[in-house]
Amino acid sequence: MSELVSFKCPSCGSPLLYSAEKGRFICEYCGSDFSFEEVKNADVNADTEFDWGDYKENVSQETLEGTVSYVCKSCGAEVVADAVTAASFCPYCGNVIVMEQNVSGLIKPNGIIPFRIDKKKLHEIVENYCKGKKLLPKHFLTAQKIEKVQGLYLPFWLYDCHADGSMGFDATRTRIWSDERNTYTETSHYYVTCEGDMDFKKVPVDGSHRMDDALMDSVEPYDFSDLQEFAKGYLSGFVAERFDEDADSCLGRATARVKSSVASTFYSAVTGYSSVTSSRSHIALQDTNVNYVLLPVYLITAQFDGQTYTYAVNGQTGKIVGDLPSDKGKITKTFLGTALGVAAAVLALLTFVF
Amino acid sequence: MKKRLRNFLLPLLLFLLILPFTASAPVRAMGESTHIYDRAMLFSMATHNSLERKMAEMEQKYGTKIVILTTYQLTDSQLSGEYTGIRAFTEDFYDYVICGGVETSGIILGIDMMNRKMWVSTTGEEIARFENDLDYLLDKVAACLSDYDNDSAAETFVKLVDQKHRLGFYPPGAGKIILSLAIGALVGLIVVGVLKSQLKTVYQATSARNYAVPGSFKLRRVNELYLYSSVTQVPKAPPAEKSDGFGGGFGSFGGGGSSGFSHGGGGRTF
Repeated sequence: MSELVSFKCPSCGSPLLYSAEKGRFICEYCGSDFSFEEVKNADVNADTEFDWGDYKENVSQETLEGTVSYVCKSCGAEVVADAVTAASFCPYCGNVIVMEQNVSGLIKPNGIIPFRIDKKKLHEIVENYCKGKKLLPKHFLTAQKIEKVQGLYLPFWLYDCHADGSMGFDATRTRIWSDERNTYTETSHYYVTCEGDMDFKKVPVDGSHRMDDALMDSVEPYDFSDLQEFAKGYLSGFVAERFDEDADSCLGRATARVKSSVASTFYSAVTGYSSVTSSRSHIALQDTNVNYVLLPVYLITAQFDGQTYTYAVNGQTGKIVGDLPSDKGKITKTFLGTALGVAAAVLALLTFVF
Repeated sequence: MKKRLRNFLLPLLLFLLILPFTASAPVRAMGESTHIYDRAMLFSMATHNSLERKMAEMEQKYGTKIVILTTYQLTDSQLSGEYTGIRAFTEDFYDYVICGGVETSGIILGIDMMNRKMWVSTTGEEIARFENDLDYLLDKVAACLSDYDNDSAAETFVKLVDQKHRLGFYPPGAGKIILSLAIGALVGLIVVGVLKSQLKTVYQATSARNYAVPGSFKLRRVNELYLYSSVTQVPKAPPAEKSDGFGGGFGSFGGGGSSGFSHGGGGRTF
């Protein structure tokens, strides 16, 4: 890992990539870019260290016997099911998939959250999701499309860690008074530093390269009190995906989220000032641990206007996410109807009242 | 008894103050005028006669007095004291000369050519009728007077009074239409924006707050280092000057003339 990722983003802590085109280091996670000097001198690279320890000691390398791998000939997705489950549709693109036995099995996860939402409930969820959305094209997510949906267990890494750090803030206090002629404002400037620590448990990051990270972030939260010890029986009737992004490559996303939360907690703790601006942060993660789990998701794909839209339903809570398309005709009608209606009302008001 | 005497003597005194002025004004050979008192000789004969007929018809149709009064010079007594000028002259002329001291609904346009000021006074039902639209009427009439188009000023006044009685409102100007369309477009954009935002539910997570162990945050140390202070001073705005009700022209307000009758109205300089 340390060979692959030399520097971390000073803004979010994610791994930086070098762009030959720009001659700068690019953060794919937060979009920032930096020069070599900026990266080298940044606190995150100078002082913040990740305590590697034996954080991956929980992750098993054991491959499960009796699992079958399927490959979608349309999009290339590879999913795994138990020997008795027939996977006929790709959970990613909805096309027919072919069986390719004994290529690779499923690495045994540390835990699994079983599906709590069935297909019947899924219909209701999707129906409710589309309700009341006035700009949505008609018949966008039809029942027919939902029939083809197959429940999918997605690979997630759950990180535990202890975050310890200090932050510096530029803060001001203002005092205002006046006499007969003038109003006076006194601004007092301070530099506030604070130190503290906090613990995080089970910060989830999906281990699927194919899966849109934002979509998986949005389908959270999961109730991890329902996390079960993995048993192959949970796969019955569902398919699972093998992780293709390991714990090291996903660590940056978890780290960025943890650091952002710690920074925001420090910020909330600095009170009694008129303005507070963060100027320095040094947050290190310690005692980190990771677990590999499978979490339940229904994926729904739909085509509109030449684009593919993907929706994810949390198989435990029923939360549905996914950006919906808008109908241009409905946008025009809504805009003109509202604009002209309001204009008429305002004109009447200006004419008859004012 | 004392009060009755005062109520009788005060109007009489004011009437006598106005009378010498009206009596000394040149008389035009245009028949008996009961709606246009053109002491400053501003209007052409044709306009005078045409408007006189029209105003008589309107008075009968709407049951309200409609009067135009012009003067070239106010007397010294009309130019001194607190309640003075074209406003006082117009209101008193209406109350005592036109209505004979009896409170009657009506509207009167007074034009003072010497000081280039005009006043429109309303009484009775006309106060409420013109309350919101008086500025529009004043602006239109003042614009004609500023262009030295006196006939058009009188015609505009009569036309707008007629229009207000017939339609109840004045057609909105281009400014109001553009403002309404702009507000409508803005609200339309906001509504479409809100409806479109309902379609977006995917966001990159930037926080792990949901996974923080409750009660685990420990703030070990907070240190405050004072750096420096700066003071800025802003002068207070001077108190606003009192307006005489003319100025650029938003002087529209209610009040009472020397008669004690309620008047609405407003004025402009031109």
